[in-house]
Amino acid sequence: MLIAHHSEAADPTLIHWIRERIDAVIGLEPVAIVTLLGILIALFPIVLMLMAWRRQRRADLSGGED
Amino acid sequence: MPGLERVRTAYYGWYVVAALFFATFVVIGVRQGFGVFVETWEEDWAASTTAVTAASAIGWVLNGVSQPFFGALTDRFGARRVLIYGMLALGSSVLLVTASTNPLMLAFTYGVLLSFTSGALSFTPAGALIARWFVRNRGKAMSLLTVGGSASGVIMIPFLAYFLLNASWQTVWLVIGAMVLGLGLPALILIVRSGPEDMGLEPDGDMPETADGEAGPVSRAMVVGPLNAERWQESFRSAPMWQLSLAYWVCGITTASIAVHYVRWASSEGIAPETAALAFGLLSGINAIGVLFVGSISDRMQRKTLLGIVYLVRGLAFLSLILVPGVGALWAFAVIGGMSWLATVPLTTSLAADVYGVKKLGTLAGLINMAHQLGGGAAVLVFAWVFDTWDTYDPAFAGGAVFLLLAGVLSLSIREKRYSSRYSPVNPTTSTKPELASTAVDAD
Repeated sequence: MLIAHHSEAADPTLIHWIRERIDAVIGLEPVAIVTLLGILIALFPIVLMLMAWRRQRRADLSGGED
Repeated sequence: MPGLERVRTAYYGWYVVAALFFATFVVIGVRQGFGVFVETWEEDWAASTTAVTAASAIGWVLNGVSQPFFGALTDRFGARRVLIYGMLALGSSVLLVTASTNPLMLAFTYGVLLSFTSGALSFTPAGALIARWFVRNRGKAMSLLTVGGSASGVIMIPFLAYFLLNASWQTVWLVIGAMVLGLGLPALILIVRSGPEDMGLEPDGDMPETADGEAGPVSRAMVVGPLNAERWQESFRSAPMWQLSLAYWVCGITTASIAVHYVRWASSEGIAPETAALAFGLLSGINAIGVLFVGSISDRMQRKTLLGIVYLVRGLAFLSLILVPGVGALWAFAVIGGMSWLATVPLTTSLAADVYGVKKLGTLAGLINMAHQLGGGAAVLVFAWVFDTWDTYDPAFAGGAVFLLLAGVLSLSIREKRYSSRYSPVNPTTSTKPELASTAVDAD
């Protein structure tokens, strides 16, 4: 998706075109696409927070930051 | 005593970058996602496209105006607070959008509230924060942040578009609100810190200064710029602020015009929708790779050189729209334009930080970003007028190419070796400014 640098709204017609392209290439049900993308979106911050927490715990145990 | 040994772990600044990556991903998704709902709102409210998209136009202006405002808040209260309260306000605005029952309410909830508050999560405060965490790897860190916006277009927009096929628009916006408040906000609160000093670290993860003071980190001195601005007004007495702002104004002109007029141009050229959509996929992939590449190598060479090249390459892309016949113009633009599309963002903010230091960087970055938005808003109208008058975009594309040539020359003329902390490190305790440049053009 083309973006103007400060996130102006995407063109509705272009979104239509892209959705049709995705349908033609992937051919999954909309529900499956929403589920997959939703999991992907949610996983990133959850994994990140876990990693940061684990890192802090390691740093606390080892007696200091590196 | 292994338990007491210092364990080597990844520099915490990269966790901050990752959290800001997600914040950027979310806020750009929310703002760009407006386009997904336009037709639904038109049907639900029996409203015209003009009435519905007025919210987006208002939002464009207010988002631009909000940049220096949130930049000033960043300098005063710290980027962390601005980002966290900004995410809270954004989440609340998203939930308020679900209460809209007509275009006027949408103009207020989306156009005014959401668009203004999203400025608190823009590159202005996020870039200012990254500049504190990174000095040697500043370009790379900024480019990763920028890719968050690119990833949002590829993942978030299809997510919203497909979600809307299975749910009401109110439900989709509720989910977006949950995403902002349930994922984005905790990630910022738990991970983001105002600077490395908050965790007893040095920028870039350098080793702390030794007791005898002999092996102090280079990075600390580079947090102060040679033209260190105590007040933002001072920056406009020096050439780099004008050079960066004017070039970024051109950047706004040339990105916003294409973002808005691309579909109309493709249709007027008789290009098939599937081809146009595919070209956009190509451009997105190339721009993500391009921004990472440019950001990374900008830490090893003069940023102004890369910035100039990026503008000139984009100028070539604009020329290709005129000179290359038929659908070839589309592919040429996707490839050449893709390389330069987002690369100006990390280069401009990093260079501003190198020159002016981080103390007033929020305000300065905000002003530069506002120039971008104003240029973009004006260009959208001018491009529309050109097409309505001549039934072709060619004169507008030619104008864009000329402006890009000027932006390239302006960028290349920045005296980086004199004014950048990378080449002229400043001792924070005895900082003296080099004589302010009265003329811009000077080869380093």
